[in-house]
Amino acid sequence: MLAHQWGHDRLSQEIRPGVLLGCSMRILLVEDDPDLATWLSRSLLRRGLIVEWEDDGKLAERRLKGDSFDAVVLDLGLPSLGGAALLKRLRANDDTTPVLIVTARNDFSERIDLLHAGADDFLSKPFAVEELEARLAALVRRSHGRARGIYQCGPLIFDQNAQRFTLDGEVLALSPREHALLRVLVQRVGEPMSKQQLLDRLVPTDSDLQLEAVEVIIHRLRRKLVGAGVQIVTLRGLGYFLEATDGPG
Amino acid sequence: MSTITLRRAAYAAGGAIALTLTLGITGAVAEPANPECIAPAQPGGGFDITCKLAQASLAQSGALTEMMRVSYMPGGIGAVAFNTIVGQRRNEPGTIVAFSGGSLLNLAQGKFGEYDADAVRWVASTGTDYGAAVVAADSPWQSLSDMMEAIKADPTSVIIGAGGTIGSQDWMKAALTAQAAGVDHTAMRFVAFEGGGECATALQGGHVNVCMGDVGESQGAIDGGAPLRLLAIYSAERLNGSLAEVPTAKEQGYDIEWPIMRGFYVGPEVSDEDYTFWAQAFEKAMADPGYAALLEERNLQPLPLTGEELQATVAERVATYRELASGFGLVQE
Amino acid sequence: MAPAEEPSQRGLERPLWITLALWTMPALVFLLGGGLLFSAATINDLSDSAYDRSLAGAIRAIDLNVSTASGGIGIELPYPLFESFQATASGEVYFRVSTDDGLVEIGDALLPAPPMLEDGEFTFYDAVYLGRAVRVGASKRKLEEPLYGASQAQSIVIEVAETTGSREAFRERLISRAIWRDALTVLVAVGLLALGVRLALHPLTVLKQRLDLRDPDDRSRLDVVGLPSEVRPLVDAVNGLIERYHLQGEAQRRFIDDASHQLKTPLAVLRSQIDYALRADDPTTSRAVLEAMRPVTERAARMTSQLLSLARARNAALLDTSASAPVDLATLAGDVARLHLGQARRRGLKIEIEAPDEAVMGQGSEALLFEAASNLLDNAIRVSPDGGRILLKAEADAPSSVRLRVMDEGPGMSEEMLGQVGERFHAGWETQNGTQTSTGLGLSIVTVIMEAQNGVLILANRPEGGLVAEMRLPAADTTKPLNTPRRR
Repeated sequence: MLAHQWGHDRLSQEIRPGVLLGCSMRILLVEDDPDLATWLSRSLLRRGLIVEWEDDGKLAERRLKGDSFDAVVLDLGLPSLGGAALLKRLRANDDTTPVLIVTARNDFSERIDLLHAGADDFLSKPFAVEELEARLAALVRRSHGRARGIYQCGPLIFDQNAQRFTLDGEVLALSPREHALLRVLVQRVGEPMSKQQLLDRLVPTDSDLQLEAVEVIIHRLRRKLVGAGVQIVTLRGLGYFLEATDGPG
Repeated sequence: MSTITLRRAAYAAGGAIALTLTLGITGAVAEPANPECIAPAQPGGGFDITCKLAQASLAQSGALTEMMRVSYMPGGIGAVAFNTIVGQRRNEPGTIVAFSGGSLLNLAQGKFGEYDADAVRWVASTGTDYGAAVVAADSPWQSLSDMMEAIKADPTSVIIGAGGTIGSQDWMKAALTAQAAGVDHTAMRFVAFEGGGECATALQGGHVNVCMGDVGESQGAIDGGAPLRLLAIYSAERLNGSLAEVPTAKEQGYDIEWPIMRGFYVGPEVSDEDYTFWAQAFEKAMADPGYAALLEERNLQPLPLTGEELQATVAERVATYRELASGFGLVQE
Repeated sequence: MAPAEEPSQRGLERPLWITLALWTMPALVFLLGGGLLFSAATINDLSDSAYDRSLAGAIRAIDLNVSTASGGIGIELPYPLFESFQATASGEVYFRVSTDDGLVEIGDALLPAPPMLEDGEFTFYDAVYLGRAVRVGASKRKLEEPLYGASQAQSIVIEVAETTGSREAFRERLISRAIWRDALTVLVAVGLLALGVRLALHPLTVLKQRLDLRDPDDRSRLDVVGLPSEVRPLVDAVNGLIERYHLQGEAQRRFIDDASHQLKTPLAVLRSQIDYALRADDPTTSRAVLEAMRPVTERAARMTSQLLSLARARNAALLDTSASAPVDLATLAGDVARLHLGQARRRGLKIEIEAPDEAVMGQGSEALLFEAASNLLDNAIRVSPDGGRILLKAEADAPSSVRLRVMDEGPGMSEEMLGQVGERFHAGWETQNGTQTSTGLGLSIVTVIMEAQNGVLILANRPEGGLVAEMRLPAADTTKPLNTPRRR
């Protein structure tokens, strides 16, 4: 089983299943440098992730067509099919697997282009493995949530199908406006949104809402979330966002 | 020779007696002064011959004491002369103008201007000519058929000359012959001349291939030494004398006869006396025994008509010609 | 390459002589063709007038032989005249003489009727007779006296026609000669043009040879002596390029110098650490050394990254003058904040932005300004205490300049360090929180970037503690169109 998962190297490793919503995260690592790939895989495996490795763009594409992964760690400089091209083809085939790009190149405009092309995150080499793992977890959590219609931030869970908030398992009672606003926030955990942006997302259904009213709703939500392990953070000039109180998840 | 001289002497005597008697009997009609015969063409043509015939016969028969003068007024086969007489010289008792069947044909087509046959007084017809086709003596054609074949082969290569333009009697002869041969007469290449004499000159110069003319002037030219040859004569039967060698058109398969009357007219306002004088003078001249020889010399045939008889014949001829011409679409209204 | 670009590219790549030929040959041919047409018309007129004169002569000769003395019209046949005429004309001649009242007609009866004739004038026209093209000359003359007592004098119409064979042959000869002459002219002209182009472009070959002979390290400017004035702008441009590439080369050399110097230190440290760990007896010591190695490695990694950024910023300052556009500093601050937010929140830091309602527009390269601000914010995050606050403030500074300030609550900088920040950085680094390191490289990057935007980096300590790093740059030229879309 190990040999099958490794593909290119045989090293026995202790497997500790990484916990993420009850299952191990399955990662496809696309990297052509064998040293980096080896050590990175070992580190991630240690943390309980399942890592599969391809060192060629075309092979990776085929792999992704056949199997499903929780996330892809993609290096840009690959033989036969470059990372950017692979990403574009992936997205063109409606593959929504979260992709985290790693590269030694520091080009900002390249970074923006890749984010526009459908990359979910961007990390420059060299990076700390913890950073990579944390970001992968965030990506996977978000995508899982989106897939199932379940959004989570710390103890707060929103079930889109049931249109219901639960805090530590208990249903949270909210007014329609509070519900609407909290839903916007929970779908964008960690991304600051200004009052105007929030208003824009509420107004189609609620036409006589004013900017000041947003503040009032935020205030009321805060009261309901006090001590719950999740909070609404305000940063002046950036906006409002949800955050688990034990740090960004 | 001596016979002729004797005959002439007899005629002269007879003529003088006749004239005296006539003068004596009638007493009144005086010979007009300045007798003039106008030949409405260039010298040497048919009209010239006609006038010269009159000159000779009137003198020979004694019908005229003064020698008649011949003058020339070419233009339109008599059109100019006709118009001049009718327009300007309406009453010249001494002036007679030669005419031919061709003139009558043109008159029938309205080519003499606004005038018709009644505009003048027709005096006498002194003989008849026949139409002929004349070629150069060295022409390769031996018959009318040769000529027609040549035209059929290449119409533009055969230049047909004639006295008078389209619609004239010469043209008519050519057109009738072509019709008989099945050739489109409108395709014929046609050059007009003022008179037969000019056509003969052109024929000798090789500028035309054939002249449609008259026996009189053509044979006259041949007798005069011109290197020409008659190809055909448009008469019912072969003529007499040396002309008997020439085949008729009928013999060659073209049933066309073309007699040409030759005569004289005077102005419309010439008095009856003068008119009668001329009529009687011609009668006398034509009755003269020497007249036949004069005709023969000129290759003409007798056709003695005068006065009323001539007028009637002329009117008849004009009507016939008009019909013929309208058949070819030539009558100008 | 978009398909629409290809044709124009191919057009530019075409050899010059082909382009010249394509331009000049059609024009030449058109011009000469036009000239030829004009000549042909002239030739036709001239040959007509020459030939027509002889026709007129024939008409006059016939006219002289028309006599009305007899009271009628006597016309002498013109055949003898025509004989000489036909010999020279090498064609056939036809004639017709008639009176306008139709009474008289002599000659070729089937000639086509003439057009309206002016009395006393010659008219020439083309017609068809017996299936052949002929040129007809016609004249009309009033007789002195009217004939046969008519009220008005009649007119004589004389027409003489000749076949146009020799006339046509004459014309064709002239025109074909003209065509040959013109074709030869075109060929000679094109030949001369090609030769001229070669000669004119020869200086470029000379220039190429001079360039080929240059030593790659040769900094001197190209010599314009002996080159025509049209080529000088090219030479000046090349000289400018040479200059810039030298500067770039120098910058790269400096980078290599800096990099090798800077990286040697942490690598040396790592080596000694490894030696030590390998010689250690117990695993605890080894582990401790390994832990100590990590920050060194991180520092080396960060330094490498920043060296690259600095090199790139220097390059951009040298070469990239085209990306300057109005940039909204408030939006920029927001984007930079969002980029680093995750990193900041993990330490519980607050990032806040202050900006006025109206846009704060600076003139510069958005990408470079982003990198500068990002470096400053990165530094601020590193030095801030957990839970601290970092403020980004965008505002107008003076009527013609704007600024973005990054303010942290960290320890600030010593006076000595403040004075030393510049392009030629010093590896002063401060340790904070054990694992966080800062190098002067980041600030050098920002300095280089700001100088490239005609701006400046100003560092100062805050009275309440902490550092304020100010990016000051010229205000945007508001007459130019706005390039950056306002992002919220």
